[in-house]
Amino acid sequence: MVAETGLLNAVLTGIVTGSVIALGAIGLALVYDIADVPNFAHGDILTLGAYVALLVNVPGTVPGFGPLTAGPRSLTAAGQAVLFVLTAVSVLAIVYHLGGRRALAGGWWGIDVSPPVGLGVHAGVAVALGALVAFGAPSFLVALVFATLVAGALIPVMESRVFRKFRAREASLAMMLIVSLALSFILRYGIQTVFGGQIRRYQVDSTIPFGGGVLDITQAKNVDLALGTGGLSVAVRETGNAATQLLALRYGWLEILAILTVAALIGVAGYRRRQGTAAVIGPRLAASVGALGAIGVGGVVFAGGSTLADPAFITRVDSSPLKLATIGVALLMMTLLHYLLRATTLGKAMRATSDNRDLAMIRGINTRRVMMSVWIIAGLFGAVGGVLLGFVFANITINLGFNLLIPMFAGVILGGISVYGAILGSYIVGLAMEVGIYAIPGLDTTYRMPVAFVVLLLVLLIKPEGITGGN
Amino acid sequence: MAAADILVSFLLLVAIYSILSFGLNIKFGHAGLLDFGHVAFFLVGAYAAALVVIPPDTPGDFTRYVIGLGDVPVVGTWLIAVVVAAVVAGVIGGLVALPTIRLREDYLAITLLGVSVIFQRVIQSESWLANGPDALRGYSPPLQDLFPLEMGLVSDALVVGIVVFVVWGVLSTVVLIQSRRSQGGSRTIVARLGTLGLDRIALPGGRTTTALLAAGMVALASVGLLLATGGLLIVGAVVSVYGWAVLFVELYQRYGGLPRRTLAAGTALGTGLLVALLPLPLAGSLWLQVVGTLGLLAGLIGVYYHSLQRADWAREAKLTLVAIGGLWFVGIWYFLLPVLGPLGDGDLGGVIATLLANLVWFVQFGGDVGVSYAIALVGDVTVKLGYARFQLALFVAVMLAAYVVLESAVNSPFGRVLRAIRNDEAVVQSLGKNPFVYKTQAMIIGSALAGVAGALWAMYSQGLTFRTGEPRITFIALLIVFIGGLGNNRGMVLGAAVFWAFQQATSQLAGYFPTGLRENVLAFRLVVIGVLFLLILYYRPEGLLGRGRYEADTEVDSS
Repeated sequence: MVAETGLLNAVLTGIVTGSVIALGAIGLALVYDIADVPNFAHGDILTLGAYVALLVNVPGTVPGFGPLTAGPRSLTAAGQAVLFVLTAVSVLAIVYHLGGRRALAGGWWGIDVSPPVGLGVHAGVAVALGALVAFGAPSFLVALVFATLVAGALIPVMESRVFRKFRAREASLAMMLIVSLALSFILRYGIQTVFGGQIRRYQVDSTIPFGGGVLDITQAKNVDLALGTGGLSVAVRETGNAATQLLALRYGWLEILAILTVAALIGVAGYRRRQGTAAVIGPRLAASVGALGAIGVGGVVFAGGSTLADPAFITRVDSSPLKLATIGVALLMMTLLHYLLRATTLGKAMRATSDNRDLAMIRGINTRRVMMSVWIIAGLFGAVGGVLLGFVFANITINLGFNLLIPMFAGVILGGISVYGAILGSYIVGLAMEVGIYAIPGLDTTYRMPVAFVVLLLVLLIKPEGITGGN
Repeated sequence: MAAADILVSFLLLVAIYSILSFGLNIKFGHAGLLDFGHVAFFLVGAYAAALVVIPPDTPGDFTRYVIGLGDVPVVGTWLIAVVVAAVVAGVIGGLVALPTIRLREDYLAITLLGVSVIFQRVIQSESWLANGPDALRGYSPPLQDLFPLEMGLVSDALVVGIVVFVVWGVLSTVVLIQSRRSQGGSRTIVARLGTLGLDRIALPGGRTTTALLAAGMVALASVGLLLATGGLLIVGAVVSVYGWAVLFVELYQRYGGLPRRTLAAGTALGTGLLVALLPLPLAGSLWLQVVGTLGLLAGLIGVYYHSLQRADWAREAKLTLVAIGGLWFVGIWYFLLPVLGPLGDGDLGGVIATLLANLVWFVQFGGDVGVSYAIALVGDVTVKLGYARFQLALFVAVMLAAYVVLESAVNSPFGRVLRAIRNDEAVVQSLGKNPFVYKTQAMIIGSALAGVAGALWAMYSQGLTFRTGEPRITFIALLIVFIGGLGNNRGMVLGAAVFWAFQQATSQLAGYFPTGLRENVLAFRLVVIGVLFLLILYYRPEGLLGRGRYEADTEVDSS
């Protein structure tokens, strides 16, 4: 049998797409939930992040930046200084958004600090990150960090300068929608004013040292999974002319059974132990992390080194390590957000405001700070999503984020307008998009977005509160 | 291109976008349906009309599309095409409305936006449908093969007569409606002359019939004149003079009574704008252009705001000042600027020729084909009735027809129920009316209007792509609705005029930048529009002309 990409490949692509959608949908859901703004400009936040990253990744191609560069990917000292200043200012601006000068002096921390200490810490972080960006350019990861910080600094201005004023006038929902649409156009065409309309791309360093040799992380790898009487085998091959085999793993059926049983036991044990606590690692999280960890350990321990001779079923998954890393980045960001929401004072304030804003205000929660932090998170996550999107889809145009607006809304509404619902909904939408394109014959890839729209429409017609919503 | 020709193409766009905005006005301004996907029906109408009039698809060439009834005698004409466009767009509007109308505002907006993007995608991807991502070309606008016109032929003279009829009719209606407001004076004189004295007779149907009758008589006279002598310039001159007379009378009546200082301030504002734009053609380097213009513009706006703070009379007249300044600027642009070139060269004949071309706006000057005249001091001139002017007459006629139909619909009980639904749906339901039905009807009518606008766009642009249905167009329509005033149909025309004046002005300004940057400048234009939209939403959400006021709504408390 010849290995061909099939359903499993579509599922994996769906998870990658879902991760990117989730990063955007988190910000959208937070803003929708806490600031009561269905933000049509959210797609353009992603676009902003994608384009700002270009300043670090390929500075020579950015119009107006020419004199500060010494080549398409290298900066002069002046260019590095500019990036340093931009990054440091962005960090300080983010803190400033959280409450002005008092926040800069440490006012937004949950504990009491003296102003010099607060200022010092903030300044130190700003300088450190600034140096990272200035000297780390033109690395792709550093570009990601830069874009995130700049977006986190710029996006809350939408709230403080625009939405707050309209909200003070008790503008209707329709008016807020139109305002967000106007902001969407300002953002999108503002980016086009600077960058023009041509298609741009990131340049990612493609090799890292791995296991004695060099691994090409941007080149797609073929992972062949084979099932047969002997068990399961996984073979990883390079694509292209080399086509060398990188890795081969083999598991007999008994081994698989053992691993799964142990994983299930660990999962149940973790759930039982954590049941009833409201800690950061709740019961469901403990169960899933425990089970996955057990599977991982078992996989390493029991790995044989060959492939199946006569498989009954074989399928191929086609992806580059960097694309898979986007799933990792998304999971990391979500974990950080989860920690923020569960373990910090700010997170608790956000959850309270989301439940009932008036009660939260009575309780003494600084709802203005909560609003600004929500927008900051929207900016941060949106920028990460935008950069990853630009990387995964390889073509950066000004409609990059707008094309994802419908899937993001679909994910948010499907999951219910909350952070966890948005994550769940986004993965479902991402899977629907990719698996739908795969499964329905004759459907061109440009119909990805319409598939997401159909999901959205079905949700709106059947259960508009979404999966986790509804009181 | 003469300034008159630019004016004609400006008016063409205003007509198309007015009709598009009429549609959105019905949906949002009257029924409260926020349709972020309005452009979908525009796109559908444009493609439906084009696919009807285009000749059948020849297999084997590089284009592929369906339908193509261009060769069929009656069915393949533009008249049927526009009707088809309206019907198809209206039906699709109704179908889209059925599942979505019950949704909450924000969900409705997202859903309709999604619908419009999907329509765009379908046109883009399905290459068998309408030539895929490539442009759909190969059809020609109505009666274009008659042009350029020969004055000796009866059919061609009739075409000129039709244009004369429409133009004269519109001008007479405008002056007659306004002359009701003020008795005597210059307005009445112009009205008397324009309607050939008919305004003294009371005709059934009122002023509209008088205007149309007078226009008809003038049109017949022109046809006769053309057939007899071929004197296109005379016909053009008479119509143009009438146009200027109406325009100046209107301006005088509206702004003539204002205090001197308001007029002076407004004029200064307009001149200031002209000065602020001087760096663009004059400055050498790009940086100087950008910094100079932006700096001067910022200074101008600063002076404006400062005077608003300081002087009470300025604050009360703030919009009037801008209007006067704008009109003054347009006047300079139209009359003075085109003459500067020949004046600088010392070419007196050229100066007079340019002035003549802009004064006699009814006909197009220049080119090889047309009626030739030898005019003193100028030399040989050739005039013709360009196709654009005929198209303008057609579009204006359609726009006025749509306006009349809409005004009657909006002033009827149907309109009243729509506005009641917009205010409070529960009340309407308790009175026994089904809001769902009314909203769907509003959706159908609004979408049909967008379809008509799309058909006109197909006529105008002579080639369609999937980019014709970009969300940007919905945004522009929404902007026009808010500039003009929600629910106010007359405001739609004003809003479209304001928007396209801005677009034309900035397009000309973009010409002063190096070619590589033109895209960036045009993108910046949209940023400015977005910012202005936000300002309008915040400071004047009721628009320039205010919300629509309807006869059926006034509750008369009997005194």
